[in-house]
Amino acid sequence: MKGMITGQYINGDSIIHRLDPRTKLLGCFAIIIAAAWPGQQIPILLFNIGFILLIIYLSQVGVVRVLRGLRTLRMLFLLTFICQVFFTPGDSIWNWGGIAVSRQGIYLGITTFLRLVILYLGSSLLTMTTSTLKLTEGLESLLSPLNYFRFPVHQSAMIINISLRFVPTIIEEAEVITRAQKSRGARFDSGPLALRLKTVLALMIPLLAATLQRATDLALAMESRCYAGGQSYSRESSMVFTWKDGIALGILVTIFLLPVWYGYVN
Amino acid sequence: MPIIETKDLTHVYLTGTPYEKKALDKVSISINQGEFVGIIGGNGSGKSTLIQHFNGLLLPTSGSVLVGGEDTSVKRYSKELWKKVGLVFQFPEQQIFKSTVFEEVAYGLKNMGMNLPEIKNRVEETLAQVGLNPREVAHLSPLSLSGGTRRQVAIASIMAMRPAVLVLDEPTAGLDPSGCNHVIKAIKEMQQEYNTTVVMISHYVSQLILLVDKLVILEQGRLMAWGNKREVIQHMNSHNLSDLILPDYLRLMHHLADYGYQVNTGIFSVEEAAREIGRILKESHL
Repeated sequence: MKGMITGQYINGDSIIHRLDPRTKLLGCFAIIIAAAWPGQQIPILLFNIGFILLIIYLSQVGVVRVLRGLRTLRMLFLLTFICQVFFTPGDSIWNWGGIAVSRQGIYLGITTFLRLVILYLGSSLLTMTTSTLKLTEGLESLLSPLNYFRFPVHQSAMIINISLRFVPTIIEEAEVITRAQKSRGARFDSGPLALRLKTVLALMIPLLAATLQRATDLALAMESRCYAGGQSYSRESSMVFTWKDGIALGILVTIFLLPVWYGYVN
Repeated sequence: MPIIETKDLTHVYLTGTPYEKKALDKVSISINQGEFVGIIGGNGSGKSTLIQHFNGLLLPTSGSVLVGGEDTSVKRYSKELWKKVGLVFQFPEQQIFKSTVFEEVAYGLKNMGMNLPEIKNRVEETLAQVGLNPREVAHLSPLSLSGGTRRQVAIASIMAMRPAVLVLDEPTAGLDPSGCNHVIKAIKEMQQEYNTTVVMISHYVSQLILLVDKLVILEQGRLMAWGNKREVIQHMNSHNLSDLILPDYLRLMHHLADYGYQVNTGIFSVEEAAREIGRILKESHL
């Protein structure tokens, strides 16, 4: 593999790693609400970012590495910023041949950027400190009330688990196929667009074929080990929600949701 | 001048992450035009990483790789390297994507800019070379073929480009004996007919030893032995190399030498081993 995927799980034994996955899921949910809530002010958003960075520091996955991951999203940041700046009506502070920049536009551009950063940092924190198995275990537990409505919670969790598990495998396979086709002169990164699109087929067809084959094999392997899904299915270790989790969740909810509540009341 | 030359080639995967791994550690070898070189080593010894440096897919973290006297880290040069160095990956049949065998084998040739009548000749020639009947298989869908035949098609798609260097990563793994023979025969013929340099990774050491001129032995990214096969095998002693990689009759020869018998350890085949044992039995009047 060329590099690590942004947000890839990093094995560790920090306080954050040891938290119950449900705590982390709910905490991440609180962060998402804080980031998406309309009318959040810049200082609060900055404070949120600072606080998440502190948690990342505590989790020992490397603050610099996480921040470096922001670079992969730079086009998204730039595009949303430009859209917000130029397409928000308001008090014009700069008019240039019909293209107007408004004060509100700049403000919205900056807050949107900060919101995206919060979303990225929050979700990275979750996936970098929680293994996919724990993640789906937590998700299954949190969604279990839906069982009363006959929603297939266990099956959904298993689907999510398997998809997350195979992301690195498929990426690795895509890289091998890309190299193999390059060895036959396929050009993925140069040449006219039409040709490049055609070249992508040389990657997609074998990749899809291999993935379908793998899915069939996996299903067969699971069945031959008597997997049937559903209720009668236990785990090797069960999750424990300790007082530490209570405190962590309390802090997260206070930090991220108090400003939201305050803004709502006023 | 050697066609491939590596100097202190070191390759580190995922530099600067917790998953950092040194796959190659100061490997220096040189391969001449027309030579048949075998690479052996256990899983994770860096074999596949090494060969991907030969056509510029991977670039050294430190050290250098020269192909045809030019540095692969020069981008202008490494971009065109695929024409010169044909690389057959492990399980190449998994990279097949065209709807007919003909188109699959023609893919590389089209990318080289060859014209259609030429391509047609070349494809037919190469299919025959790997032991397939062009008239029978050319129009078939690769999916309708058996695993072994698909492998032959995939190897043909690289061979058709007539690279100066042919690099193969375990081309016979998982093939039945007849498929295996077809593939080996085609490789050998190509080497002899066009003076192609062949570099081949294989776990079937007893088979590889009979084919090659030179051997490279890797262990955990380090070059354990390198040179003419007779010298490499002769000086391999059972203490400093994991026995696993040698076929049992060669291990027996080395063990006999360890016990003080005057036995020639520089042999390659079972027949030679049998003759050696017969000679020792006669000499010691047992």
